[in-house]
Amino acid sequence: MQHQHGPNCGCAEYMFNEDADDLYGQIEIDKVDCLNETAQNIKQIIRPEIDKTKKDHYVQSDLDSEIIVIIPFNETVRIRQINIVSLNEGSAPNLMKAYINISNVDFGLIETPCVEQFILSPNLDGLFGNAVKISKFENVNNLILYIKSTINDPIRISYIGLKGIRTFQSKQLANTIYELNPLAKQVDPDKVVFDSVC
Amino acid sequence: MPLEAAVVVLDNSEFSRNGDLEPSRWNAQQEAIELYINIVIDSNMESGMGLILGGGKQVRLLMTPTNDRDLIQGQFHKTRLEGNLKFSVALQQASLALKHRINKQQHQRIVAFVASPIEEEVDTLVNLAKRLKKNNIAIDLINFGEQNEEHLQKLKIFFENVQKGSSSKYINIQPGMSATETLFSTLGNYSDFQAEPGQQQQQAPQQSTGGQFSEYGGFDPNVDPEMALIMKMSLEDEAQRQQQQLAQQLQQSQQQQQQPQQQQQQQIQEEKIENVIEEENDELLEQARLLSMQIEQQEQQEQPNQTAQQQQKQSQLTQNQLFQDQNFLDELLDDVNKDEEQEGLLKKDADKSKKD
Repeated sequence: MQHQHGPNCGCAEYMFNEDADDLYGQIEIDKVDCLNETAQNIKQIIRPEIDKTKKDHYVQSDLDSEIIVIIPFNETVRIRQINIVSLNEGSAPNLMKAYINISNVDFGLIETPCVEQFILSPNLDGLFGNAVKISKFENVNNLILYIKSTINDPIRISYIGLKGIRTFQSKQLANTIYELNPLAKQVDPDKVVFDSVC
Repeated sequence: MPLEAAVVVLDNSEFSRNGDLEPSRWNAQQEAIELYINIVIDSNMESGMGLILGGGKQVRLLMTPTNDRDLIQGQFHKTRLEGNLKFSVALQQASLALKHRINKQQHQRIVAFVASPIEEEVDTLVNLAKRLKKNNIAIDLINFGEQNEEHLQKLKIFFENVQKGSSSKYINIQPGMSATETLFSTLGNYSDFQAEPGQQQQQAPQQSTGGQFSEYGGFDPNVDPEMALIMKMSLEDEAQRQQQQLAQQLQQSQQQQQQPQQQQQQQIQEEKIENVIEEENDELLEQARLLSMQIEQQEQQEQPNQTAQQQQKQSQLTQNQLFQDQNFLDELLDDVNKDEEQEGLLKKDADKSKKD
Protein backbone atom coordinates (compact mmCIF):
# COMPACT_ATOMS: atom_id res chain seq x y z
CA MET A 1 0.00 0.00 0.00
CA GLN A 2 1.21 3.49 -0.84
CA HIS A 3 2.54 5.43 2.08
CA GLN A 4 0.17 8.17 3.20
CA HIS A 5 1.76 11.13 4.85
CA GLY A 6 0.53 12.04 8.30
CA PRO A 7 1.75 14.03 11.25
CA ASN A 8 3.70 11.08 12.67
CA CYS A 9 5.25 9.51 9.58
CA GLY A 10 8.51 11.43 9.86
CA CYS A 11 9.07 11.66 6.11
CA ALA A 12 11.36 14.44 5.00
CA GLU A 13 8.87 15.60 2.41
CA TYR A 14 6.11 16.02 4.93
CA MET A 15 8.01 17.37 7.93
CA PHE A 16 7.41 21.04 8.58
CA ASN A 17 4.92 21.12 5.75
CA GLU A 18 1.64 20.58 7.58
CA ASP A 19 0.79 24.24 7.27
CA ALA A 20 1.98 24.61 3.72
CA ASP A 21 -0.78 25.38 1.24
CA ASP A 22 -1.02 25.03 -2.47
CA LEU A 23 0.39 28.22 -3.98
CA TYR A 24 -1.57 27.96 -7.23
CA GLY A 25 -3.59 31.07 -6.44
CA GLN A 26 -0.47 33.16 -5.95
CA ILE A 27 1.11 32.28 -9.27
CA GLU A 28 0.72 34.91 -12.02
CA ILE A 29 -0.32 32.48 -14.71
CA ASP A 30 -0.22 35.03 -17.52
CA LYS A 31 3.43 35.75 -16.93
CA VAL A 32 4.61 32.16 -16.61
CA ASP A 33 7.20 31.42 -19.27
CA CYS A 34 9.10 28.39 -20.47
CA LEU A 35 12.27 28.26 -22.53
CA ASN A 36 12.93 25.45 -25.02
CA GLU A 37 9.45 23.96 -25.18
CA THR A 38 8.00 22.67 -28.45
CA ALA A 39 4.51 24.15 -28.14
CA GLN A 40 3.53 27.04 -25.93
CA ASN A 41 1.40 25.28 -23.36
CA ILE A 42 3.30 25.90 -20.15
CA LYS A 43 0.29 27.70 -18.73
CA GLN A 44 -1.81 24.56 -18.94
CA ILE A 45 0.41 22.50 -16.71
CA ILE A 46 0.27 24.97 -13.85
CA ARG A 47 -2.91 23.75 -12.16
CA PRO A 48 -4.49 23.45 -8.70
CA GLU A 49 -3.31 20.50 -6.70
CA ILE A 50 -6.53 18.55 -7.23
CA ASP A 51 -5.76 18.20 -10.91
CA LYS A 52 -2.19 17.11 -10.51
CA THR A 53 -2.69 13.66 -11.98
CA LYS A 54 -4.37 14.79 -15.18
CA LYS A 55 -2.33 13.83 -18.21
CA ASP A 56 -4.11 15.65 -21.02
CA HIS A 57 -1.63 18.55 -21.26
CA TYR A 58 2.12 18.39 -21.10
CA VAL A 59 5.21 20.43 -21.88
CA GLN A 60 7.83 18.81 -24.07
CA SER A 61 11.42 19.90 -24.40
CA ASP A 62 12.62 20.87 -27.86
CA LEU A 63 16.38 20.64 -28.36
CA ASP A 64 18.43 18.81 -25.70
CA SER A 65 16.28 17.43 -22.95
CA GLU A 66 16.16 20.49 -20.73
CA ILE A 67 13.72 23.30 -20.06
CA ILE A 68 13.64 26.38 -17.91
CA VAL A 69 10.34 27.36 -16.29
CA ILE A 70 9.92 30.89 -14.95
CA ILE A 71 7.15 31.30 -12.37
CA PRO A 72 6.37 34.79 -11.06
CA PHE A 73 4.13 35.32 -8.06
CA ASN A 74 1.76 38.14 -7.31
CA GLU A 75 2.97 38.35 -3.73
CA THR A 76 6.02 37.28 -1.76
CA VAL A 77 5.81 33.64 -0.74
CA ARG A 78 7.80 31.12 1.24
CA ILE A 79 8.21 27.92 -0.71
CA ARG A 80 8.22 24.60 1.11
CA GLN A 81 7.74 21.99 -1.58
CA ILE A 82 8.13 21.70 -5.34
CA ASN A 83 6.18 18.92 -7.04
CA ILE A 84 6.96 17.81 -10.60
CA VAL A 85 4.81 15.18 -12.29
CA SER A 86 6.03 13.77 -15.56
CA LEU A 87 3.87 12.29 -18.29
CA ASN A 88 5.42 8.84 -18.31
CA GLU A 89 8.54 7.10 -17.18
CA GLY A 90 10.24 7.23 -20.53
CA SER A 91 10.22 11.01 -20.60
CA ALA A 92 10.82 11.79 -16.95
CA PRO A 93 13.46 14.29 -15.85
CA ASN A 94 16.01 13.38 -13.22
CA LEU A 95 17.66 16.68 -12.31
CA MET A 96 16.30 20.02 -11.20
CA LYS A 97 17.98 23.24 -10.16
CA ALA A 98 16.05 26.05 -8.53
CA TYR A 99 16.87 29.76 -8.61
CA ILE A 100 14.93 32.64 -7.09
CA ASN A 101 14.28 36.29 -7.97
CA ILE A 102 16.17 36.54 -11.22
CA SER A 103 15.06 38.66 -14.16
CA ASN A 104 16.14 38.18 -17.79
CA VAL A 105 16.56 34.43 -17.63
CA ASP A 106 18.28 32.43 -20.32
CA PHE A 107 20.28 29.21 -20.47
CA GLY A 108 23.44 31.02 -19.36
CA LEU A 109 21.89 30.98 -15.91
CA ILE A 110 22.72 27.32 -15.34
CA GLU A 111 26.41 28.07 -15.27
CA THR A 112 25.87 30.13 -12.13
CA PRO A 113 25.46 28.38 -8.77
CA CYS A 114 21.88 27.45 -7.99
CA VAL A 115 19.97 27.97 -4.78
CA GLU A 116 19.24 24.28 -4.47
CA GLN A 117 19.63 21.19 -6.59
CA PHE A 118 17.28 18.20 -6.59
CA ILE A 119 17.36 14.66 -7.90
CA LEU A 120 13.95 13.86 -9.30
CA SER A 121 12.11 10.55 -9.36
CA PRO A 122 9.48 9.85 -12.03
CA ASN A 123 6.64 10.72 -9.62
CA LEU A 124 3.83 9.81 -12.00
CA ASP A 125 1.08 10.19 -9.40
CA GLY A 126 2.33 13.37 -7.79
CA LEU A 127 2.70 12.01 -4.27
CA PHE A 128 6.38 12.80 -3.81
CA GLY A 129 6.96 16.51 -3.63
CA ASN A 130 10.52 17.69 -3.19
CA ALA A 131 10.93 19.51 0.10
CA VAL A 132 13.20 22.53 -0.10
CA LYS A 133 15.60 24.04 2.38
CA ILE A 134 13.26 26.49 4.03
CA SER A 135 15.79 29.17 4.87
CA LYS A 136 16.84 29.59 1.28
CA PHE A 137 13.34 30.08 -0.11
CA GLU A 138 12.10 32.72 2.28
CA ASN A 139 11.25 35.77 0.17
CA VAL A 140 10.39 34.49 -3.26
CA ASN A 141 8.79 36.75 -5.88
CA ASN A 142 9.97 34.77 -8.84
CA LEU A 143 10.95 31.08 -9.05
CA ILE A 144 13.09 29.66 -11.86
CA LEU A 145 13.28 25.90 -12.35
CA TYR A 146 15.84 24.29 -14.61
CA ILE A 147 14.62 20.76 -15.32
CA LYS A 148 16.53 18.23 -17.36
CA SER A 149 17.17 14.57 -17.93
CA THR A 150 20.55 12.98 -18.51
CA ILE A 151 18.95 9.79 -19.84
CA ASN A 152 15.68 10.56 -21.57
CA ASP A 153 15.19 12.74 -24.61
CA PRO A 154 12.83 14.54 -24.80
CA ILE A 155 11.28 15.16 -21.38
CA ARG A 156 7.57 15.65 -20.89
CA ILE A 157 6.08 17.22 -17.79
CA SER A 158 2.38 17.21 -17.05
CA TYR A 159 2.16 19.15 -13.78
CA ILE A 160 4.20 21.58 -11.75
CA GLY A 161 2.96 22.39 -8.25
CA LEU A 162 4.25 24.48 -5.42
CA LYS A 163 3.41 24.45 -1.76
CA GLY A 164 4.29 27.06 0.74
CA ILE A 165 3.16 29.87 2.95
CA ARG A 166 1.84 33.25 1.89
CA THR A 167 3.18 36.42 3.40
CA PHE A 168 0.41 38.67 2.00
CA GLN A 169 3.05 41.24 1.08
CA SER A 170 3.72 42.20 -2.49
CA LYS A 171 6.05 44.34 -4.56
CA GLN A 172 4.04 46.58 -6.80
CA LEU A 173 4.25 49.92 -8.53
CA ALA A 174 2.78 52.59 -6.30
CA ASN A 175 -0.09 54.49 -7.86
CA THR A 176 0.57 58.07 -6.83
CA ILE A 177 -1.17 61.35 -7.47
CA TYR A 178 0.99 64.42 -7.11
CA GLU A 179 -0.59 67.60 -5.73
CA LEU A 180 0.98 71.02 -5.93
CA ASN A 181 -1.55 72.57 -3.56
CA PRO A 182 -4.21 70.63 -1.68
CA LEU A 183 -7.74 71.38 -2.73
CA ALA A 184 -9.27 73.87 -0.30
CA LYS A 185 -12.32 71.73 0.30
CA GLN A 186 -10.18 68.80 1.39
CA VAL A 187 -8.35 70.83 4.01
CA ASP A 188 -11.37 72.70 5.39
CA PRO A 189 -14.70 71.72 3.84
CA ASP A 190 -16.48 74.91 5.00
CA LYS A 191 -13.98 77.17 3.40
CA VAL A 192 -14.18 76.81 -0.36
CA VAL A 193 -12.56 79.98 -1.67
CA PHE A 194 -11.97 78.78 -5.20
CA ASP A 195 -11.51 75.34 -6.67
CA SER A 196 -8.11 74.69 -8.17
CA VAL A 197 -7.16 71.36 -9.61
CA CYS A 198 -3.49 70.58 -10.23
CA MET B 1 10.82 50.25 -28.20
CA PRO B 2 12.11 48.21 -25.32
CA LEU B 3 15.70 48.06 -24.20
CA GLU B 4 17.46 45.95 -26.82
CA ALA B 5 20.78 44.73 -28.05
CA ALA B 6 20.53 44.14 -31.79
CA VAL B 7 23.32 42.54 -33.79
CA VAL B 8 23.03 43.02 -37.53
CA VAL B 9 24.43 40.35 -39.82
CA LEU B 10 25.40 41.97 -43.12
CA ASP B 11 25.67 40.08 -46.36
CA ASN B 12 28.85 41.25 -48.05
CA SER B 13 29.01 38.38 -50.50
CA GLU B 14 29.42 38.87 -54.25
CA PHE B 15 25.66 38.52 -54.66
CA SER B 16 25.24 41.94 -53.06
CA ARG B 17 26.65 43.61 -56.15
CA ASN B 18 23.38 42.76 -57.86
CA GLY B 19 21.51 45.84 -59.03
CA ASP B 20 17.96 44.52 -58.86
CA LEU B 21 17.42 46.65 -55.80
CA GLU B 22 18.53 50.11 -56.75
CA PRO B 23 21.35 51.04 -56.78
CA SER B 24 22.63 47.69 -55.50
CA ARG B 25 21.73 45.19 -52.77
CA TRP B 26 24.70 46.33 -50.74
CA ASN B 27 23.50 49.95 -50.85
CA ALA B 28 20.04 48.81 -49.85
CA GLN B 29 21.57 47.10 -46.83
CA GLN B 30 23.39 50.29 -45.90
CA GLU B 31 20.17 52.29 -46.04
CA ALA B 32 18.43 49.68 -43.99
CA ILE B 33 21.13 49.99 -41.34
CA GLU B 34 20.33 53.71 -41.10
CA LEU B 35 16.73 52.84 -40.46
CA TYR B 36 17.62 50.31 -37.82
CA ILE B 37 19.88 52.75 -36.06
CA ASN B 38 16.91 55.07 -35.74
CA ILE B 39 14.62 52.35 -34.51
CA VAL B 40 16.98 50.79 -32.01
CA ILE B 41 19.22 53.53 -30.72
CA ASP B 42 17.17 56.66 -31.04
CA SER B 43 14.16 55.17 -29.32
CA ASN B 44 16.06 54.02 -26.26
CA MET B 45 19.41 55.48 -25.30
CA GLU B 46 20.68 52.36 -23.64
CA SER B 47 20.00 50.04 -26.54
CA GLY B 48 22.94 48.82 -28.51
CA MET B 49 23.62 47.75 -32.06
CA GLY B 50 26.42 45.57 -33.32
CA LEU B 51 27.68 44.47 -36.74
CA ILE B 52 28.85 41.18 -38.16
CA LEU B 53 30.06 40.53 -41.69
CA GLY B 54 28.57 37.28 -42.88
CA GLY B 55 30.39 36.98 -46.19
CA GLY B 56 34.00 36.96 -47.19
CA LYS B 57 36.60 34.36 -46.30
CA GLN B 58 35.74 34.49 -42.62
CA VAL B 59 32.78 35.68 -40.64
CA ARG B 60 34.00 38.74 -38.82
CA LEU B 61 32.62 40.68 -35.86
CA LEU B 62 32.96 44.34 -36.75
CA MET B 63 31.35 45.91 -33.74
CA THR B 64 29.98 44.66 -30.44
CA PRO B 65 26.65 46.17 -29.39
CA THR B 66 27.18 49.90 -28.92
CA ASN B 67 24.95 52.94 -28.84
CA ASP B 68 27.38 55.16 -30.75
CA ARG B 69 25.94 55.55 -34.23
CA ASP B 70 29.07 57.12 -35.74
CA LEU B 71 31.08 54.03 -34.90
CA ILE B 72 28.55 51.84 -36.65
CA GLN B 73 28.29 53.95 -39.77
CA GLY B 74 32.06 54.22 -39.98
CA GLN B 75 32.42 50.45 -40.31
CA PHE B 76 31.08 50.47 -43.84
CA HIS B 77 34.29 51.93 -45.18
CA LYS B 78 36.21 48.88 -44.09
CA THR B 79 34.06 46.35 -45.85
CA ARG B 80 34.59 44.67 -49.22
CA LEU B 81 32.20 42.55 -51.19
CA GLU B 82 33.67 39.08 -51.58
CA GLY B 83 32.97 35.41 -51.04
CA ASN B 84 29.71 33.78 -50.04
CA LEU B 85 27.36 34.23 -47.12
CA LYS B 86 27.93 31.75 -44.29
CA PHE B 87 24.48 31.98 -42.76
CA SER B 88 24.60 29.61 -39.81
CA VAL B 89 28.14 30.53 -38.78
CA ALA B 90 27.24 34.22 -38.87
CA LEU B 91 24.12 33.71 -36.78
CA GLN B 92 25.99 31.61 -34.25
CA GLN B 93 28.63 34.29 -33.90
CA ALA B 94 25.89 36.86 -33.49
CA SER B 95 24.28 34.86 -30.69
CA LEU B 96 27.68 34.58 -29.00
CA ALA B 97 28.16 38.34 -29.25
CA LEU B 98 24.76 38.78 -27.64
CA LYS B 99 25.52 36.28 -24.90
CA HIS B 100 28.53 38.37 -23.88
CA ARG B 101 26.76 41.71 -23.96
CA ILE B 102 27.60 43.95 -21.06
CA ASN B 103 24.09 44.99 -20.08
CA LYS B 104 22.14 41.81 -19.41
CA GLN B 105 18.86 43.74 -19.19
CA GLN B 106 18.84 44.24 -22.96
CA HIS B 107 16.63 41.90 -24.93
CA GLN B 108 18.46 39.94 -27.57
CA ARG B 109 17.78 40.47 -31.26
CA ILE B 110 19.56 39.43 -34.43
CA VAL B 111 18.82 41.25 -37.66
CA ALA B 112 19.83 39.02 -40.55
CA PHE B 113 20.25 40.62 -43.99
CA VAL B 114 20.14 37.91 -46.61
CA ALA B 115 21.11 38.85 -50.16
CA SER B 116 22.38 35.53 -51.48
CA PRO B 117 21.08 31.95 -51.66
CA ILE B 118 21.47 30.03 -48.42
CA GLU B 119 23.82 27.06 -48.76
CA GLU B 120 22.80 25.18 -45.61
CA GLU B 121 20.32 22.33 -45.63
CA VAL B 122 16.89 22.63 -44.08
CA ASP B 123 17.81 20.38 -41.12
CA THR B 124 20.74 22.56 -40.17
CA LEU B 125 18.55 25.63 -40.44
CA VAL B 126 15.84 24.11 -38.25
CA ASN B 127 18.40 23.13 -35.62
CA LEU B 128 19.88 26.62 -35.68
CA ALA B 129 16.43 28.18 -35.40
CA LYS B 130 15.51 26.08 -32.39
CA ARG B 131 18.76 26.96 -30.70
CA LEU B 132 18.10 30.67 -31.20
CA LYS B 133 14.56 30.31 -29.90
CA LYS B 134 15.82 28.39 -26.89
CA ASN B 135 18.03 31.33 -25.97
CA ASN B 136 15.12 33.74 -26.34
CA ILE B 137 16.64 35.63 -29.26
CA ALA B 138 14.26 37.51 -31.54
CA ILE B 139 15.13 37.42 -35.23
CA ASP B 140 14.39 39.97 -37.94
CA LEU B 141 14.90 38.15 -41.21
CA ILE B 142 15.13 40.49 -44.19
CA ASN B 143 15.55 39.09 -47.67
CA PHE B 144 17.11 41.48 -50.17
CA GLY B 145 16.15 40.52 -53.68
CA GLU B 146 16.77 36.78 -53.99
CA GLN B 147 13.47 35.25 -55.14
CA ASN B 148 14.45 31.64 -55.81
CA GLU B 149 11.61 29.31 -54.71
CA GLU B 150 13.83 26.96 -52.78
CA HIS B 151 15.56 29.85 -51.07
CA LEU B 152 12.27 31.43 -50.01
CA GLN B 153 11.07 28.08 -48.73
CA LYS B 154 14.19 27.67 -46.59
CA LEU B 155 13.74 31.14 -45.16
CA LYS B 156 10.12 30.45 -44.37
CA ILE B 157 10.90 27.20 -42.53
CA PHE B 158 13.69 28.90 -40.62
CA PHE B 159 11.40 31.72 -39.60
CA GLU B 160 8.60 29.44 -38.46
CA ASN B 161 10.96 27.57 -36.16
CA VAL B 162 12.56 30.65 -34.70
CA GLN B 163 9.41 32.56 -34.02
CA LYS B 164 8.31 32.92 -30.44
CA GLY B 165 5.53 35.34 -29.66
CA SER B 166 5.36 38.31 -31.96
CA SER B 167 8.78 39.88 -31.69
CA SER B 168 10.35 38.29 -34.75
CA LYS B 169 9.77 39.52 -38.28
CA TYR B 170 10.22 38.24 -41.79
CA ILE B 171 10.36 40.77 -44.62
CA ASN B 172 10.87 39.91 -48.27
CA ILE B 173 12.02 42.81 -50.45
CA GLN B 174 11.40 42.02 -54.10
CA PRO B 175 13.37 43.45 -57.00
CA GLY B 176 12.22 46.87 -58.10
CA MET B 177 10.91 47.90 -54.71
CA SER B 178 12.37 50.53 -52.49
CA ALA B 179 13.92 48.77 -49.52
CA THR B 180 13.59 51.67 -47.13
CA GLU B 181 9.92 52.25 -47.89
CA THR B 182 9.02 48.63 -47.30
CA LEU B 183 11.05 48.45 -44.14
CA PHE B 184 9.75 51.73 -42.81
CA SER B 185 6.13 50.78 -43.30
CA THR B 186 6.54 47.56 -41.40
CA LEU B 187 9.15 48.38 -38.80
CA GLY B 188 8.00 51.93 -38.17
CA ASN B 189 5.00 50.64 -36.32
CA TYR B 190 6.83 47.64 -34.95
CA SER B 191 4.00 45.24 -34.46
CA ASP B 192 3.31 41.67 -35.52
CA PHE B 193 3.07 42.23 -39.25
CA GLN B 194 4.71 40.35 -42.11
CA ALA B 195 5.19 42.62 -45.11
CA GLU B 196 4.06 41.37 -48.49
CA PRO B 197 5.53 43.68 -51.11
CA GLY B 198 3.09 45.39 -53.39
CA GLN B 199 0.17 45.26 -50.99
CA GLN B 200 1.21 48.40 -49.13
CA GLN B 201 -1.14 47.81 -46.24
CA GLN B 202 -1.36 50.67 -43.83
CA GLN B 203 -1.25 49.68 -40.21
CA ALA B 204 -4.80 49.28 -39.01
CA PRO B 205 -5.49 49.74 -35.30
CA GLN B 206 -3.78 46.83 -33.73
CA GLN B 207 -6.92 45.23 -32.41
CA SER B 208 -8.07 44.41 -35.92
CA THR B 209 -4.92 42.50 -36.87
CA GLY B 210 -5.98 39.93 -34.31
CA GLY B 211 -2.42 39.40 -33.12
CA GLN B 212 -1.56 37.23 -30.22
CA PHE B 213 -1.60 40.05 -27.73
CA SER B 214 -4.52 42.07 -29.03
CA GLU B 215 -5.74 42.94 -25.56
CA TYR B 216 -2.39 44.59 -24.96
CA GLY B 217 -2.59 46.41 -28.27
CA GLY B 218 -0.23 44.08 -30.09
CA PHE B 219 2.70 44.43 -27.74
CA ASP B 220 4.18 41.34 -26.15
CA PRO B 221 4.01 41.86 -22.38
CA ASN B 222 7.06 39.71 -21.85
CA VAL B 223 9.12 41.88 -24.15
CA ASP B 224 7.81 45.31 -23.24
CA PRO B 225 5.66 45.26 -20.10
CA GLU B 226 5.27 49.02 -19.72
CA MET B 227 4.05 49.57 -23.26
CA ALA B 228 1.70 46.61 -23.04
CA LEU B 229 0.19 47.94 -19.81
CA ILE B 230 -0.27 51.45 -21.23
CA MET B 231 -1.94 50.08 -24.35
CA LYS B 232 -4.25 47.87 -22.30
CA MET B 233 -5.34 50.79 -20.14
CA SER B 234 -6.00 53.07 -23.09
CA LEU B 235 -7.96 50.36 -24.87
CA GLU B 236 -10.09 49.87 -21.76
CA ASP B 237 -10.68 53.63 -21.47
CA GLU B 238 -11.77 53.73 -25.10
CA ALA B 239 -14.17 50.83 -24.61
CA GLN B 240 -15.64 52.52 -21.54
CA ARG B 241 -16.09 55.79 -23.38
CA GLN B 242 -17.88 54.09 -26.24
CA GLN B 243 -20.17 52.31 -23.82
CA GLN B 244 -21.04 55.60 -22.19
CA GLN B 245 -21.78 57.12 -25.56
CA LEU B 246 -24.06 54.23 -26.44
CA ALA B 247 -25.83 54.50 -23.10
CA GLN B 248 -26.31 58.21 -23.56
CA GLN B 249 -27.71 57.77 -27.05
CA LEU B 250 -30.18 55.23 -25.70
CA GLN B 251 -31.30 57.65 -23.02
CA GLN B 252 -31.76 60.45 -25.52
CA SER B 253 -33.93 58.29 -27.73
CA GLN B 254 -36.02 57.28 -24.70
CA GLN B 255 -36.57 60.89 -23.72
CA GLN B 256 -37.55 61.82 -27.23
CA GLN B 257 -40.25 59.19 -26.98
CA GLN B 258 -41.54 60.73 -23.75
CA GLN B 259 -41.81 64.23 -25.11
CA PRO B 260 -44.63 63.71 -27.68
CA GLN B 261 -46.77 62.26 -24.89
CA GLN B 262 -46.37 65.41 -22.78
CA GLN B 263 -47.28 67.74 -25.61
CA GLN B 264 -50.35 66.04 -27.08
CA GLN B 265 -52.59 68.83 -25.74
CA GLN B 266 -51.00 71.46 -28.02
CA GLN B 267 -51.60 72.11 -31.68
CA ILE B 268 -50.03 69.81 -34.27
CA GLN B 269 -47.79 72.48 -35.80
CA GLU B 270 -46.36 73.34 -32.43
CA GLU B 271 -45.72 69.69 -31.63
CA LYS B 272 -43.77 69.20 -34.82
CA ILE B 273 -41.65 72.27 -34.24
CA GLU B 274 -41.05 71.37 -30.63
CA ASN B 275 -39.93 67.85 -31.51
CA VAL B 276 -37.45 69.23 -33.99
CA ILE B 277 -36.19 71.75 -31.50
CA GLU B 278 -35.97 69.31 -28.64
CA GLU B 279 -33.70 67.11 -30.68
CA GLU B 280 -31.35 70.08 -30.80
CA ASN B 281 -31.68 70.29 -27.05
CA ASP B 282 -31.59 74.05 -26.53
CA GLU B 283 -34.13 75.92 -24.46
CA LEU B 284 -33.41 79.48 -25.47
CA LEU B 285 -33.17 78.71 -29.15
CA GLU B 286 -36.67 77.29 -28.98
CA GLN B 287 -37.97 80.37 -27.23
CA ALA B 288 -36.52 82.57 -29.93
CA ARG B 289 -38.14 80.52 -32.65
CA LEU B 290 -41.49 80.54 -30.90
CA LEU B 291 -41.30 84.29 -30.48
CA SER B 292 -41.09 84.62 -34.23
CA MET B 293 -44.46 82.91 -34.55
CA GLN B 294 -47.84 84.36 -33.56
CA ILE B 295 -47.59 86.14 -30.23
CA GLU B 296 -50.70 84.89 -28.41
CA GLN B 297 -50.02 81.24 -29.07
CA GLN B 298 -46.42 81.70 -27.99
CA GLU B 299 -47.37 82.86 -24.54
CA GLN B 300 -49.61 79.91 -23.94
CA GLN B 301 -47.09 77.44 -25.20
CA GLU B 302 -43.95 78.78 -23.56
CA GLN B 303 -44.84 77.74 -20.06
CA PRO B 304 -45.49 74.04 -20.67
CA ASN B 305 -42.41 73.97 -22.98
CA GLN B 306 -40.18 75.32 -20.29
CA THR B 307 -41.32 72.86 -17.69
CA ALA B 308 -40.93 69.96 -20.07
CA GLN B 309 -37.48 71.05 -21.11
CA GLN B 310 -36.39 71.70 -17.56
CA GLN B 311 -37.46 68.22 -16.55
CA GLN B 312 -35.68 66.80 -19.53
CA LYS B 313 -32.52 68.71 -18.73
CA GLN B 314 -32.53 67.74 -15.08
CA SER B 315 -33.07 64.09 -15.87
CA GLN B 316 -30.25 64.21 -18.38
CA LEU B 317 -27.88 65.85 -15.95
CA THR B 318 -28.58 63.36 -13.22
CA GLN B 319 -28.14 60.44 -15.55
CA ASN B 320 -25.05 61.69 -17.35
CA GLN B 321 -22.83 62.99 -14.64
CA LEU B 322 -19.67 62.78 -16.72
CA PHE B 323 -21.05 64.85 -19.55
CA GLN B 324 -19.17 68.01 -18.76
CA ASP B 325 -18.64 68.68 -22.43
CA GLN B 326 -22.35 69.10 -22.94
CA ASN B 327 -22.58 71.73 -20.21
CA PHE B 328 -19.76 73.63 -21.80
CA LEU B 329 -21.50 73.48 -25.16
CA ASP B 330 -24.73 74.63 -23.55
CA GLU B 331 -22.99 77.62 -22.06
CA LEU B 332 -21.57 78.50 -25.45
CA LEU B 333 -24.94 78.14 -27.11
CA ASP B 334 -26.54 80.24 -24.37
CA ASP B 335 -24.21 83.09 -25.22
CA VAL B 336 -25.00 82.71 -28.90
CA ASN B 337 -28.73 82.47 -28.38
CA LYS B 338 -28.99 85.45 -26.13
CA ASP B 339 -28.35 87.46 -29.26
CA GLU B 340 -31.08 85.56 -31.08
CA GLU B 341 -33.47 86.13 -28.21
CA GLN B 342 -32.82 89.85 -28.35
CA GLU B 343 -33.50 89.78 -32.08
CA GLY B 344 -36.71 87.87 -31.40
CA LEU B 345 -37.76 90.42 -28.81
CA LEU B 346 -37.01 93.23 -31.26
CA LYS B 347 -39.15 91.46 -33.85
CA LYS B 348 -41.93 91.12 -31.30
CA ASP B 349 -41.80 94.85 -30.58
CA ALA B 350 -41.75 95.56 -34.30
CA ASP B 351 -44.82 93.38 -34.84
CA LYS B 352 -46.61 95.07 -32.00
CA SER B 353 -45.83 98.47 -33.37
CA LYS B 354 -46.99 97.35 -36.83
CA LYS B 355 -50.25 96.08 -35.46
CA ASP B 356 -50.72 99.31 -33.61
